[in-house]
Amino acid sequence: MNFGFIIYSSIVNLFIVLILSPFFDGFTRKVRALIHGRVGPPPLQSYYDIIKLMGKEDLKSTINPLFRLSPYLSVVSVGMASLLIPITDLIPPLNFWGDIFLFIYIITVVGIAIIITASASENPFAYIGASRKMMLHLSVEPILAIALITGAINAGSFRIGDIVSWYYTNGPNVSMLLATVCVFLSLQALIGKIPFDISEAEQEIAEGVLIELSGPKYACVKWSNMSRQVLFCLVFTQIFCPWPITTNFLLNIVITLFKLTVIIFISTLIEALNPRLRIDQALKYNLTLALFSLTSIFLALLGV
Amino acid sequence: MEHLSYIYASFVALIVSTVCTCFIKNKSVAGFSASILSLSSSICLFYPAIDIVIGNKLVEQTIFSLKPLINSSFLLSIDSLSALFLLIISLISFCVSLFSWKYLNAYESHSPIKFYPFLMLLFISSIGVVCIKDILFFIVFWELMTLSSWFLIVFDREKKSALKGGLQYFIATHVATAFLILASVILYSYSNDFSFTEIKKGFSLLINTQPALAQFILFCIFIAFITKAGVLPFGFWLPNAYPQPPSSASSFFGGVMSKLAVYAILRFFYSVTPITLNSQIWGLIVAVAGTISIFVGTIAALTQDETKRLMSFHAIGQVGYMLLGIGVGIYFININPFLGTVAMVGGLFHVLNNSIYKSLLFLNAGSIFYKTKTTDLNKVEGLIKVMPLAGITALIGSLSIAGVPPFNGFVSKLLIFESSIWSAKQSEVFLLIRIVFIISGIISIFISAVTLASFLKFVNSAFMGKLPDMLEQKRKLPWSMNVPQLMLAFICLFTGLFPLIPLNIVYNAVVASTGISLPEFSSVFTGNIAGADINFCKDCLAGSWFPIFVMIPILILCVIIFSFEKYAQAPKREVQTWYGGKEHLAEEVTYRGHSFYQPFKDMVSFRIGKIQFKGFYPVNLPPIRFSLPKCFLKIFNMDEWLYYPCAKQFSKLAEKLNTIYKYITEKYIIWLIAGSIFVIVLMVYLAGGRI
Repeated sequence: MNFGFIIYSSIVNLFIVLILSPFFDGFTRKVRALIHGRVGPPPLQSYYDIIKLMGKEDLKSTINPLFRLSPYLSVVSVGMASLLIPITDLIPPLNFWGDIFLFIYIITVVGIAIIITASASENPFAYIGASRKMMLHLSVEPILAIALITGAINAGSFRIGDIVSWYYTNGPNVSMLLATVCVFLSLQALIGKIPFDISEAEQEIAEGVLIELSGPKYACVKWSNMSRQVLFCLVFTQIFCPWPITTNFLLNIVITLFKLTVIIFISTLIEALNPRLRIDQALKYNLTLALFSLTSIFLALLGV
Repeated sequence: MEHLSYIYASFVALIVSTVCTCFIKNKSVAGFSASILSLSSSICLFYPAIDIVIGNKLVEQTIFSLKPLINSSFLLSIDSLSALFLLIISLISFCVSLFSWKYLNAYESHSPIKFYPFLMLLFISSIGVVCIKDILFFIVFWELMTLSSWFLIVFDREKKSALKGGLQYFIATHVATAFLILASVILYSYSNDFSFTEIKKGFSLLINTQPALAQFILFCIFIAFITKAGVLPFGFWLPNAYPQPPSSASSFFGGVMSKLAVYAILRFFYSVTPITLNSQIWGLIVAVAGTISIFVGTIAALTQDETKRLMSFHAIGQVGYMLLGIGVGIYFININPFLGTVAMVGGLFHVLNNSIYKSLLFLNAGSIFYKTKTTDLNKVEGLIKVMPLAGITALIGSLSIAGVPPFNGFVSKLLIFESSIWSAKQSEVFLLIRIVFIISGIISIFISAVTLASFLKFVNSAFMGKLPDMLEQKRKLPWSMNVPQLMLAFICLFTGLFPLIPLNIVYNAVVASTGISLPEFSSVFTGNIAGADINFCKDCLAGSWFPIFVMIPILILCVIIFSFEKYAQAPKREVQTWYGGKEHLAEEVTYRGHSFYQPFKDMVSFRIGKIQFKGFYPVNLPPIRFSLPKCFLKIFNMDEWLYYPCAKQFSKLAEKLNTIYKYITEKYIIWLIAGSIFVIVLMVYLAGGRI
């Protein structure tokens, strides 16, 4: 266990997921605007939004202490989850201290934080959003869990570093390829973008979970949503498509950023070209996908 | 023997308090004396329990023996497994009785005499169940536990649902006990002794000579205990019975009583009947039964709108997790001792954790009832403003039961998930069996999210939201109700943050229960105070969980983001909630508990024939009617074909005899003459004509 490695790779991960995420959000806004035939905001617009919101007036609709705390928890837990993704090397910084179940549950915490913020705000629209967010989460979480478990069965370890190392050296086999496809198909649901932005549907329930938030809290939740996009794209690129990785960590970061941009571009295309699903349609899609992805586990059991 | 004297002292304290509370009609006096006495008994239990479980000792004493009559003796024997449960009982019993002190005031028209003596009897009998190593007295205490809990269930006798739930409970548990008695009688006929050690010897012979009978015995034991544990479909009574008593008693039911059934399964499947190749298939059966009840119980809980009923369904689901761990343990303990150990430790650790947060959640439900006189989630709202401590502890309990790190539920669930998935690597096991175990693991991961969803619904609709105006003036929760909740919530956090301490305790209990040599603790769970690595074979790390190290980045990030917010210095202002631009009363637009997850509930609700399933759980079972063929009924009607015909013939005969010598003097004389002639002839005949 190299302590220096843990420190610098933690800083790199946090930098990419937390600090660079508004830039990627600006990128998606630009791409979406180009598809719509607009000019669009400058790429740094999301930074300006966050900084401006941080200084705006903080309106409190309730005295509930959880309303004050949980928006910050959502950002913190996204940052925490990023420490379990390998970027600079084949192993993530927290490899020795937690495994895939920790990762699955930290993603859950992100959802919990936003759900509690929403329900503490006392607004019925926020309640509808919270209920939808929880349903989406519980339908999409099994897909990611099954994909990671497929990796764990193949690699013989529950640690993300071991799974990625095994995948990198032994190449894609049938079961892992199937898991990768399933994760890709559920990527939009994991990120929570169209067609799965049902919990924040602006036209229907006026941004649902975010409705009562303002000022720094709104900035935090928006920031955590942007970071979540980067986080799940990183899950796909770093855990399920780890190639290529070199010995030079700076080069690795550059490769990662390139892959990330490609995936975010694809995700933005899907977002711009699709309508929003209803919640029952989304649930059916996700649960069917989850049942289908069980196949990858059987294949992993057979050793292919 | 000093350990045992502490146990006696706690017994005495509980018996004294049983007797005392029988005569005290004043609620606060009865509650005070009960909580003081149960505090002293808890302290007396705690010391020997912690000493035995840490040192992995065995304390045994025969109090008295029934030897001349029957080969049975009152054998008080405490090993680490018993001590672990004594630890749980001592903790929960104190919390429950302290909570009841003021809580019973919510039941204005009821006398405490209907409550405290039975609660204390329940404590005594549950201590007895875990301490006894003799199957006869085990059944005695088991039955005492069932009866005293039945009296608690029918506490509110005016309610129809209480009587119905009590009846179901009574019938189901007694049918289960009948199976237990059957098994013990068969075992006795082979071992000729009721003590666990003798039965183990007898059973190891039996499983080789008469495997079919041995499997039948195991089947009886299995049915007996999973009925009490509430595993579906045998646990149909549980959601009707557990919500009925006052919440503090429900808390003991959910926290300890249903876990004692898991204790019994462990005790009987590990220590009383040895694990052999023949009996390891029961591991698979236990695991599958557990998975069914995880799946159906928890999804059914999602559709419930009544707090205590919701929690009772979760009691079913959570028992499933324990059985999954224990089942994987039974199956793999001989194949891969490392895997078996991890699974068993996971299952048993989940018992410990579950008893803590389950009691906590029932106590939270009790606080809601104390405040609002209802536990219907559609009627309560915004309670965190009047009872912030109950709200925060309910959130902690909910996150623990959902297994969110860093709370304690995560550690045990992690062990259960990993061990059930690791069975994939045991290539010597038949493929289909491995698939069953893995599917069980994946279902339990999915259901973990469902658990979270249903408890977020509980927290969101009970504690969040707008507080109705009339509630605000009412009195605050007394400290005696806050302290137990805080204590239990703190233990949830503590055992979650420092998992190696409870893991060590639980490992000792597992070693004591199996009685076969397991891999060393330090080779299964490598690590330090900050956390543990999990090994599934010698020196191969598979999983890890170091809560302390993982919390460090979280704390650093929290500090950074908070200071960022402080630096920005945004002005703050209090405003009204926005209801869509138009003035609406809060009551008109609130999102009630019933509305949560409606699309998901619709997906899992369906109809088969006339039976409506809601969350895979039948809500309107048609009444079962037996229509036996008439001749079959006649057999049971003995009066009809045996008694009345015989009686009729007999009375006719008597009448006929009557007419022979009735009313006429001449007839008497003729009879007399005929009789004397007959006697003379007889005497002549007997004398051989030599007169």
